[in-house]
Amino acid sequence: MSKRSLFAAALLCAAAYVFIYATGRANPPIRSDGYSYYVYLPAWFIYHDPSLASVARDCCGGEFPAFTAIIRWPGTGRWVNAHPIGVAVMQSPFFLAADGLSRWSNLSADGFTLYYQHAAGIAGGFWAIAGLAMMRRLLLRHFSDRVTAATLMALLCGTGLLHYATYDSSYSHAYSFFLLAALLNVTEDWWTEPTHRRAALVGLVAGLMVLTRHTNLLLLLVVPLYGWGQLRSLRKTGTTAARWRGTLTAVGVAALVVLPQLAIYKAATGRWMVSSYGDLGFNFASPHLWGVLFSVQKGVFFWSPLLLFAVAGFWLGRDTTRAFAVAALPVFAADAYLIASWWDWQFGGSYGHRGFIDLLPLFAIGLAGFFAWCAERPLRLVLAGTATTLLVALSLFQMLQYWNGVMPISDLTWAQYKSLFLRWQ
Amino acid sequence: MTRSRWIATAVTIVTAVSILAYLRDPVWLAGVESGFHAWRTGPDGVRARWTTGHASFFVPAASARLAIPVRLTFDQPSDPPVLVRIAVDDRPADEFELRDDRWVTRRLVLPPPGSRRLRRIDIRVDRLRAGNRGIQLGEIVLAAQ
Repeated sequence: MSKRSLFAAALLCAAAYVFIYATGRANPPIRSDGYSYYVYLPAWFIYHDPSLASVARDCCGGEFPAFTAIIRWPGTGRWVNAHPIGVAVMQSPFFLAADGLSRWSNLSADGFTLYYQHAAGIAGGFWAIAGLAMMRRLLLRHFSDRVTAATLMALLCGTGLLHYATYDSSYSHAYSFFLLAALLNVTEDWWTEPTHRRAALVGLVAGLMVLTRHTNLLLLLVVPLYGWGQLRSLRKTGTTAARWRGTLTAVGVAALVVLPQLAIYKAATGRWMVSSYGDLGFNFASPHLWGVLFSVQKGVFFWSPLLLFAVAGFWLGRDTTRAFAVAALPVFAADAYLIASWWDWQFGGSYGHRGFIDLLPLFAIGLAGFFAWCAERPLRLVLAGTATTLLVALSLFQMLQYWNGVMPISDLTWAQYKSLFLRWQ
Repeated sequence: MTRSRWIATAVTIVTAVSILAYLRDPVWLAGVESGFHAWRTGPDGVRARWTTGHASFFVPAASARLAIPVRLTFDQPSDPPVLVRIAVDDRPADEFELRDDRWVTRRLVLPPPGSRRLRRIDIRVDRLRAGNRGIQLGEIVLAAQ
């Protein structure tokens, strides 16, 4: 059943993607943040110039437009991209196929014509589905097939995941979603049996996470915290030395994966680590916690109320979710604080709060815990099934409102929300 | 390999080759373009659209000549001229500089048709005006002879 739900999820994403672009509801996928995540690919594979200068010359008359957040570094005059290379690395197979096809069809092989655009768009959808497949693998170890199937579909349709797998699929969120789902899998594998191969996989995924979004560094806390949650049972296994060796392997592999990004920064600025956001940054003293969690503007629980079930699920299903709950709750709290402290805590124009899409694999475990608890009693099942259906329907409707331009992309007020509630136009 | 796998592999290969053959020169490519802003009619009554730094579009390969009206605005006295390069199927076809805001029509003689139905025209500029704007392009006129 969960295999079929995964297939249905892929079909739904494909249908939504075709609907969005065939009806002109969105501009071509390589836009806004998606542009700067992607721009490395033409630079590497077409212009063979990692400095980005050749792309700037061809696409933009020598200067990247302001929306790209790619700036000339003071002192060196070289281009520095606010967004790291991880998304581009994961898009590269799709890009290479698009490049071959563009040359074959005589489309301009500049990295931005038709096939490149949709290669970047489809790549995000692919990794979102791959993330769901990863979650399926993990959930099936702890929950029934039915609970897993319900969780996957609810996660896709009852949160902003569908939006970031289709409409804004060139952003980093679908990629981070996959990578955290993969990290949860390889973390559990490694804590179960600490082989070098598994440690290397933890390092590979962790490195890719940092390459995709630097703030994903915080999400890596799930690796030690998961082990802490399992401490009692792990003490009996007597594998401490193997775990230390594995930790070294994981850290070494992660460092190797991150190294090219550091080299890019060094070549552009003379420093190994930089932020190209300039004066824009974090206001840790005045975080907008209410705003990012509950507000009408972007509150994650306001726009995806289904996730409240996930929070409850960590408690109600604690016998099954304990190890993950120990990891999920501190990581969620720390990431929420980080997101709430960003100068633009709404993260610009977006459906719901896109910063929390990256954390959905953790919520999935809580949601599965909730569904499993509900499945124990018929009445709970009926009530939870009805509530979930309604919340998923509301989420899908509001997503369509956003796609149709009915819902403002940011700074929504309560009065506006009320006046637009369930309105098609 | 089982018989059903052989059949599945053969069907996959045939499908992939057919799609590739179709995509080499599809009819719908005539409507594909990139690097343009929306069409607008200016105060002078000329319908035109801005390019970005690199715009591309297709014309029928049977066309022998092409007339492209181009213009550049100079909103500020300090706005520099812009160098424009036009290529046909990646071969350089024209290069010129726009120094004032008059409409100029560039005329290109296209090479004889090859094996494709369409030719790709690329227009690149060496600098942009504010708002990711390259040059203004009017309606292109094609001639068969």
